[in-house]
Amino acid sequence: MKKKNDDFRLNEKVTPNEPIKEEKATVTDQDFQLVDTSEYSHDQKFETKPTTFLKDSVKRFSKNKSSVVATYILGILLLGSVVVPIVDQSNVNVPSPYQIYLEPKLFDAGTGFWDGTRSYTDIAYYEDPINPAKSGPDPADFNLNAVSNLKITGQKYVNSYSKFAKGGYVKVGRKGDDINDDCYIENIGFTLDTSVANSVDIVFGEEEIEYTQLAPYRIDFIYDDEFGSEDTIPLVAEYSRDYSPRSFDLTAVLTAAFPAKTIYDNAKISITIDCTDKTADSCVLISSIAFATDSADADYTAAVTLPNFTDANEMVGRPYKDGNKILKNYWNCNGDKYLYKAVMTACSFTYDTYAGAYGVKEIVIDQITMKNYKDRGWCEYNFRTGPSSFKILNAKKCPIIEVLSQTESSGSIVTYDLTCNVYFYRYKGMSSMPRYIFGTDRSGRDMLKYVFEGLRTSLLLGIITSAICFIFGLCWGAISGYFGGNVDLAMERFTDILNGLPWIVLMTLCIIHLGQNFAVFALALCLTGWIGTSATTRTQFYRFKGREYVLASRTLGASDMRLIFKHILPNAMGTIITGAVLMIPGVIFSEATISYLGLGLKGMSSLGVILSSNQGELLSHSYLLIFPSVIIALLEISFNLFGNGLRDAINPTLKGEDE
Amino acid sequence: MRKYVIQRLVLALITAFIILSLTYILVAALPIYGGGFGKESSMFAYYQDQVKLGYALDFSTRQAGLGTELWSFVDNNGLQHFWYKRPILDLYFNWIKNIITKWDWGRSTFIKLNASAMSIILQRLPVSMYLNIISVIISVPLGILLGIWAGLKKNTWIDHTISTLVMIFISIPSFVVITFLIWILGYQLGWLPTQWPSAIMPNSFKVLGYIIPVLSLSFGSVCGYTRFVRAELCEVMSSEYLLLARTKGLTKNQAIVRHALRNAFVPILPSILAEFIGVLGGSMILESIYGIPGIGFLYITALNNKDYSVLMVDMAVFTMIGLVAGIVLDLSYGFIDPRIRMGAKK
Repeated sequence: MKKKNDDFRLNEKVTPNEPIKEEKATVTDQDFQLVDTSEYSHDQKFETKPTTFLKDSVKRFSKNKSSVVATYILGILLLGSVVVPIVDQSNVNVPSPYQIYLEPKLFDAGTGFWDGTRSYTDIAYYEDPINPAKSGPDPADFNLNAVSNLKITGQKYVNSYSKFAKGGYVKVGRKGDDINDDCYIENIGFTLDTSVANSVDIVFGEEEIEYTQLAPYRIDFIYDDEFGSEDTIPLVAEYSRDYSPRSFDLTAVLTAAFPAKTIYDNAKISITIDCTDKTADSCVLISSIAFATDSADADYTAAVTLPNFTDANEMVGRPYKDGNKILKNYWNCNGDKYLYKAVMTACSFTYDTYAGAYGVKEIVIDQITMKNYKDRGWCEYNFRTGPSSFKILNAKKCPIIEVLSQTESSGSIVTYDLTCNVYFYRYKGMSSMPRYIFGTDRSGRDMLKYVFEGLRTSLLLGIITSAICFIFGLCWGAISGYFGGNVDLAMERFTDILNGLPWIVLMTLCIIHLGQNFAVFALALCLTGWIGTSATTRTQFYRFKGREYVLASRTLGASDMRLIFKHILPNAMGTIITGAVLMIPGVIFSEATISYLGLGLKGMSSLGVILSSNQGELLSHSYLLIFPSVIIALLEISFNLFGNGLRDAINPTLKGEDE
Repeated sequence: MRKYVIQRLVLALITAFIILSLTYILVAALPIYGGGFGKESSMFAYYQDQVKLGYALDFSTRQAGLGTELWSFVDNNGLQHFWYKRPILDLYFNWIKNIITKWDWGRSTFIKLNASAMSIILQRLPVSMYLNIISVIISVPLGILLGIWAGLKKNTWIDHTISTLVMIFISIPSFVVITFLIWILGYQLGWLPTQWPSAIMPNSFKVLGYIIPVLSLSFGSVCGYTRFVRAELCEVMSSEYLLLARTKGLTKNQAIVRHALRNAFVPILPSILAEFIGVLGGSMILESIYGIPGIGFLYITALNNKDYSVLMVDMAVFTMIGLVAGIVLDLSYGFIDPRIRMGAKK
């Protein structure tokens, strides 16, 4: 419509007022000529090539751009699922603990995107007083050679023990809903001598804490009497809310109570916190406790002052036992003894996970390894002379950069252990630094191979299941549709019942009865999967079985078998096949869903299983979920687009009429 | 019509009965905890109730020579008790009897020991229902609006954008969508709770807790409705009676509202009604990822902890929802469009 209007307007503009000129043409008999004067005339042969249904379908399909793109993507995924697990040599069945959580790396480090680096913020900063070059994050967690862009971001409060934190308060208390209401903290007892002056200073903290109230406290002096049972002398008898620093002259208090007694065994200071108020968590903050004595005896002074602390972080981190020996500087607590508001220097940095795991590292190697390197001619080393004799002969292959020290083991056979700086990837026998495009997971598995193996399982399950469902559904639908009547009725009721069962119920029953392996999954998915195909087939059969060509064939004596397979089925095939293709993504989807719920395949990786096992690591290592998710989404989208394109191509009548 | 409705209902009941019977027998054939669950005194009550309900036989007074098949229990007085789990068919008939006479669907073994499985389901049902109702209320109008918009602006960039997005969102598995919603809205931006808020949380927090579940439930159905409405509308828009409506002088809007939309809604409305039946069922995936205490999560918990009585009732609920939704779908066709006569003979 629009085009015609445009043309009309165009004419109007060019010749608005002139009448249209007409030319008169005269045609005589001579202008005509007979084309064919032969006796018989035939139709001319077609110039164009004849086309088949298949070719026509392909032509129609290739016109649908999105379906073509989807087909390519699908092809890449299919190819990948076959090729990647074969080409990728890394072993995903054995854990590799030295390469856990390597970030995905496609580009070289420093590119800033997909380069195997990870940025950390708010990490504890450790300042090495002797060697400033070794300052940085905790060397136990990070290989300092792989840290770059190190920046100190300032001070940070931490509420749990860290060996890099300082100060803070000890938060002693109980949760509001705990049954036991008294809560105390006390030192491990020491022997107190009241013949010299002894005192204790306690400094409390007063801060507002979220969801927690500062509770009243009581202070007692506890000791063992001559019969070995505990006795208590209150220092602060009534529960008090006075959080100012407290100082007690122990000698004065004890002499007043027992003038004759001078030795107190197992002496303890106990701070009891009143936790009876259940409206919130109750606690008391203590920033330091210091025992002091003016005794000249150094051993006694050391024993008395051992439990002292001025640094709450250090106190919270004190261990209870060293082997079997109870450490005397420990503080016992029957409630929660947490750190509160300790100060830590925080830093941020970029960490190259590959350099961290496989780069230059300080490790201990044994004599045999070194001998092996020597034998291969990579380096020179003399165990008698020691580290100074080390010399690299083959710089491209030798794992060792320098030998730092050598230790000699004592024993009947003398062996040497060498501490060296090495290229770790060479030490592990690799010729170059590995590169994992999808990263590695918590047990050091190469995610690329793992994901594509999972994809292979998913696809295999999808294709096998769909094939079985297709064949069974076709037979069922054909019989039901062709024979009709009571046969159809009975078969339909059976399908109804099966269809009424929720698929998750059927699947669950299969899994709990038969186990969680590939065959059971295929079976469980087949149980209801064929119903769709059978319904389509049945409808198609109803549509075609009354046609004249079927009747004609029947009158010629064709058997039921021949009618079904030679006459009706070929006509109905287009619709049925597209249904079957669209079934594959459905099956993959169902398998992924049930795997994600934790009922998945055991001992095999499928996309659902991978997603399910990495579910908890969304926050810490999101790439473990992103890659499988993207693959499964891509698979579903391209399968659906491909299926839709196929349907439109094979059966153009189902397509939107104007496209 | 009435005859057809009754016929369908009876048929649905029979189907439900067959399905539940099959499931019960299959589930009952599973090995349940043999040697007893624990030594608490509450266990004793459980065993006694099992005897009372006809699922077990008391062998305590008789000589026990049946070996491992017995459930054994030592009570507080040091007396040894033995129970024998009855054969499957016995269990089955007693189960039916208990449902009919006492409305007792069995006792829970894990989720709440010895509590009636039905009461547990009824406790969990409201949460799933609220969530689904909210998501239906949001997604149906949104889906219809988007569908109408795309249908009316057919083959323009609006239609292409909507259709592409619908295609993508329908294809992405729901658990991926939920996981990334939680990741982005919960963890990265920190706007919403990353888990279902517990009962003691303040109300404002609880309201925020609804957003991610409702969003993830709505995504799928919005896409579904958009596609459905668009397809129906496109078909109606090219029909002859709409052309007639235009030729008799109606404006385009009048023709769309009075003729196109009404006819396009004939197949859409029944599916909306069926969706409202579906609000009773919880989404297993969503509930287990987000930790929502609905019946979907209950299903997974019961399954993983072998609490088969609760599992059975949960399955029954899901089965019934499916069947009822099917009936409603079929019947409402007839009510909405009198030309369609369901169940009519040729």
